[in-house]
Amino acid sequence: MALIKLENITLEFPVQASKSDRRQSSSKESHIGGQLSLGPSGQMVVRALDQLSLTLGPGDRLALLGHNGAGKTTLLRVMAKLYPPTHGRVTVQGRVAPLLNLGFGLDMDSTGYDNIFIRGLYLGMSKADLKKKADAIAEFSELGDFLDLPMRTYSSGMRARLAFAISTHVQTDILLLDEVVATGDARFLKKANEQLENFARDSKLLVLASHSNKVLRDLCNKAVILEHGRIKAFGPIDEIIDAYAVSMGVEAKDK
Amino acid sequence: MRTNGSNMLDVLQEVRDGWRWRELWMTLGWRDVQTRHRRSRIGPFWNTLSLSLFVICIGSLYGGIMSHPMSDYIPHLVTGYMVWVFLNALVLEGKDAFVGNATAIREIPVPRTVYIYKLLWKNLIILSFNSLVYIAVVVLYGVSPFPNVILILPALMLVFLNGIWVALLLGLINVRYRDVGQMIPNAMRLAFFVTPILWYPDSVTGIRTIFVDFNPFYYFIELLRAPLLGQAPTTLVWAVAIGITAVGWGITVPIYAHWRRRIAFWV
Repeated sequence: MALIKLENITLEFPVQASKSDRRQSSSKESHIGGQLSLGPSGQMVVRALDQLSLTLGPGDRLALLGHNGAGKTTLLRVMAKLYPPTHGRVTVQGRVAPLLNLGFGLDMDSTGYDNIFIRGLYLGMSKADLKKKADAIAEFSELGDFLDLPMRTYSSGMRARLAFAISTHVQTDILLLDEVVATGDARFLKKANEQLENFARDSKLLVLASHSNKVLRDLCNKAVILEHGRIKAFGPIDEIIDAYAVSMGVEAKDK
Repeated sequence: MRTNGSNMLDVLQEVRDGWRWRELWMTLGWRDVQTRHRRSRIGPFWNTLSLSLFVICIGSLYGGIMSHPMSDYIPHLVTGYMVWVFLNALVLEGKDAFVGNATAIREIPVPRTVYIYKLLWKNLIILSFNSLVYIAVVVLYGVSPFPNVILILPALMLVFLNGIWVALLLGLINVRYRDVGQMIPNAMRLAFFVTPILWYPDSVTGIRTIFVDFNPFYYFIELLRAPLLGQAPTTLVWAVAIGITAVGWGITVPIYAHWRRRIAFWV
């Protein structure tokens, strides 16, 4: 049973050693980034998430929309229980597989095949399980003989394929993806889409942050717009993407 | 942020949970040993080789300076130095337990003790490669370590218990204050010379005995060295080592409990 329940989450980062002598403050409000303020001891504090509440259940495939620094990745990290919130409560039921950073758990000097094991173990699979699934993962990634070569010979799209294949083959209830699938080519995107649809059909939960409306439309059924760490809108994917496009002043059509 | 009983229990739970991930840290630890010597022909046996070279050179030089018979000095040197390499690595790698795994800490919610068990396991493997030199020396000089050598097992357990708190504490401090990380290698280099490894603890007299009596490294070296040479560590050595373990954990648990939630932001 997959469930993510966020209640009134606020997350503040203390920023160390960043006294800027550029200027004191800007008069114009920027739409980039979270909210900056001064903490009790005078250091800068970035409020990345601000009193955010959200409940997701089985079968939900949520798209995270928002400008650079709106809090998408931070929100994914809170869902993965990597960042404990400053205030508020996080309830996550089910096993979580995050895929936030493509480089992670992948050793550039090891072969792709070895990396299936390293990343798989990190995601909580046993070696015995991985041995059974390694072929399926290899096949899904379509990397063929490249799996016997060191990872440093891979392009970023190939790395994405492998990382994605591993993360979607582990036994998990919740999958968190950050701007990852977008690196793949059209053919891989189609495959990823099928895989994620299966994933959702099994009453699992998916959260995906991306700037590609096409990817989001294909993979998700719900969406939120984040702005300065707050939820600006939440609803069905198409409605939200259109609203987002209007607010950004750009055309929504499959940008 | 408060430090209360439940936070401290969380620390102990993390220590226990890390154990469940042993397939992960055993794999990573073994890979660390291998990757250090990637593409070299003899691989991890470089550890063995470099220890033997050290023992041959330093042994023949200092054995002469200290006018001790080789049959006595070489076993003392090889056991002491081998144990020092091990303890030194636990401290130096312990301080990097979190900084060195920053990408993983920001990516995957595994218990953070996994990174500590990984480094303990890695150094146990290196210790076993080094112990080949020890075995050769024991055979060569006819030192019989039996039956006291069995005491190496409880002694190692005690060292590992200390390795965990040292890594939790230094790792945490180093995440926040990186200067500490720069300081520790210097302190350890000094500790090597003031600890009876190249010399004998009974060759210091007068005020200089403080380098032995008040040196925590002396007790841990002795704890492992004595069984390897077939002696039983004295009651004092056991008592001090157990005392340091208790005090270390007593200090580390509340501090780590208080700050552990911040680690992901600081790395």
